[in-house]
Amino acid sequence: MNLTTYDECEKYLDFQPEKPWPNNWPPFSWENKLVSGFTHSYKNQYVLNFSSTDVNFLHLFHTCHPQLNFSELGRIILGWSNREKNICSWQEFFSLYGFHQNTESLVQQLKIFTSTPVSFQAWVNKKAIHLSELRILNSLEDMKQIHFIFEWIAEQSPSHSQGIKILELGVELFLMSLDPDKILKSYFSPEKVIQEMEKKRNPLSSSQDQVNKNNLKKVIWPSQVSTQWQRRGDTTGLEIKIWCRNQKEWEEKIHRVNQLSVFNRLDRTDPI
Amino acid sequence: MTNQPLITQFQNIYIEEKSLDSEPAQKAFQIFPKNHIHIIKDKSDLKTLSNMSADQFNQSKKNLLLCSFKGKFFKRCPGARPGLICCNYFVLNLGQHCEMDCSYCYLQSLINFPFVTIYTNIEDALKELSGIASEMKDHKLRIGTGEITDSLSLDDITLYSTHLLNYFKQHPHWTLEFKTKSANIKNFVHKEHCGNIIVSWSLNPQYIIEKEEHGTASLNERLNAARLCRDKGFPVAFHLDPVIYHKEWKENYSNMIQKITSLFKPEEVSHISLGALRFQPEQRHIMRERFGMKSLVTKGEYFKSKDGKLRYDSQLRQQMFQFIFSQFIPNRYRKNDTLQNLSLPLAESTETTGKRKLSRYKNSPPKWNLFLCMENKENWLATTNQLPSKIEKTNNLFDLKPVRAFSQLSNETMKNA
Repeated sequence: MNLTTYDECEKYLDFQPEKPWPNNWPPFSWENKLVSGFTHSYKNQYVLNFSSTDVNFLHLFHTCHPQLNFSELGRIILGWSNREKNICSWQEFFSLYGFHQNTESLVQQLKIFTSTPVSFQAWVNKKAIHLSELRILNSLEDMKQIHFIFEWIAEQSPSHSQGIKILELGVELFLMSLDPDKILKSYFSPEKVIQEMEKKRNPLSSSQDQVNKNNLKKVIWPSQVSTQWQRRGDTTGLEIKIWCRNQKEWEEKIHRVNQLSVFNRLDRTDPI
Repeated sequence: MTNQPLITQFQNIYIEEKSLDSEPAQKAFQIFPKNHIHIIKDKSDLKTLSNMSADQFNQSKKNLLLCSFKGKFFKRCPGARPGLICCNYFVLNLGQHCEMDCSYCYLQSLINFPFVTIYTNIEDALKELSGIASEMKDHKLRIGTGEITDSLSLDDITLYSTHLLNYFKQHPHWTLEFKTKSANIKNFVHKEHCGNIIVSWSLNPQYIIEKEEHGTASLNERLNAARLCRDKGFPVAFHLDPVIYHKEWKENYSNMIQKITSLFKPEEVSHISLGALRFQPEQRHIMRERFGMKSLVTKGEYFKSKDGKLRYDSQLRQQMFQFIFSQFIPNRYRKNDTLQNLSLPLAESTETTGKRKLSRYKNSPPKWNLFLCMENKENWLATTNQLPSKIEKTNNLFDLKPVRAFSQLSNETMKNA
């Protein structure tokens, strides 16, 4: 281990880390390649330089940067792959960060992720979205095709699950030429966007559900009986809530609900 | 659309050193050019790949591996899940993966080893079966070889059809089912058998085969192969699975069923299973990447069912099942394209009467042995008004005694290990 200067170090390993290097620590380098403290404030400063006999590159790098988000990992892939010879094996690198299988697929995923807008990436990192949840992006030839979806998500900042749902539905509608842009221009609420997108994505079941809901509205229910046509997974059905104060009221209301023969009024025939 | 010749299907053939003397390896040397064949020390030299990308999965179909298998060949059908009504099917896995390319194939979410694999040590598989035979001698087992691979598409390399034909002669109370989307029956169809080999085909309308079952035999090729098997005394079976919803589904499935019923009598068809498209949620990504959103499969409307799989709406499934069941009944017995009751007075087969030769549709509709695959109780009742245990001819397929016996045997084996 020796001291070198910032200017003497190669800086190609710079991946624009989002966590700043502590001010009271000198930057580290490995074989005169800067590993931490990439910002210009370290100009003219001394750098602690490790050699390959002191420490393995990967261990030093991981010690300096024990946690990296997907944007950072993506920048590493893009920045380090351009060199003639890779400084380390990707498989070993990723296993230090908890990714143990299918390096080739992971590298591909990261490259795709890095081509999305920075604002979208920030949302992904903030909501701790896993790369596997963004697999829908693999179906696109060019991320620019759906810039409007990324922009909407970055601006409205939906929750983790809502954002993933909107992204997947939006991309599928785009690929089916069903114009998700109109929906995103019309609504700001994630719930409403998801609802409208699902209607467009599943027109057959949505229209069937709507027919049943409309038929249900025509039924005159006993007082203090509320109903809702619901979808639960692959089945649809009726949820009935009954308010009653005693056994007599309960029996009366159940009898009156039974008399309505609700399921005979609902459209359960083939709509096709 | 016929199968691609093997020689053009596979770019690389890997043979494990210890499998070099096996019959499949010898066959591979005859079929494939030498420069396509690579000898490897051990299967463990090759990497597994979890969550394969589309490119990786595409490439996996071009790599063939011949190696030995150290695990258990014989298992219960992996489709069985709590909440579903499942039959007593067992599987004998003599390989893994498939060189054909159906857009909906569940291997896309199951396989983590990027090779179409043939297990070369069939003698170990048969030894394992003999062990099962001695422990479960009173049980009539139904065993299939087409669960995680096609039973016959690679038979020109393995010749396992003939080995199995001979082996199952020793166990006439068992049935072996080949399940295939090929028409590759030439290696066994003219051989002697003792009537316990069922040759089955997964069927879909030709429109679906062209759009979604790439590299498979056409509907006519499959049915012609089935006819030849029937003529040679093999019981045949059909799997209308997966039923795929599309705009013209009624017309297409009706035409296909008309073809089946015109070519076969109910007593010639051991059973017909029916299942709607279903798949693990994570599979939707690789299907979309590989086949785009124009595929009937990827653009379908799916919802998460109780068993965790994505399926069509339950109501839609009931409608499709009812319609398809009804198409097996001739028009004059049908009412509004719905099946009223499967337990209508039924024509007896010549097997049971022996003496009388019955015309197919004497006084009552012909009885096909139809059942649902991997469906819940509600859909069984909506489609057939009964559960399978109450349906004549089907109830033996759903007798779970062999399954329980095997489960007990497996538990005892684990305890002793």
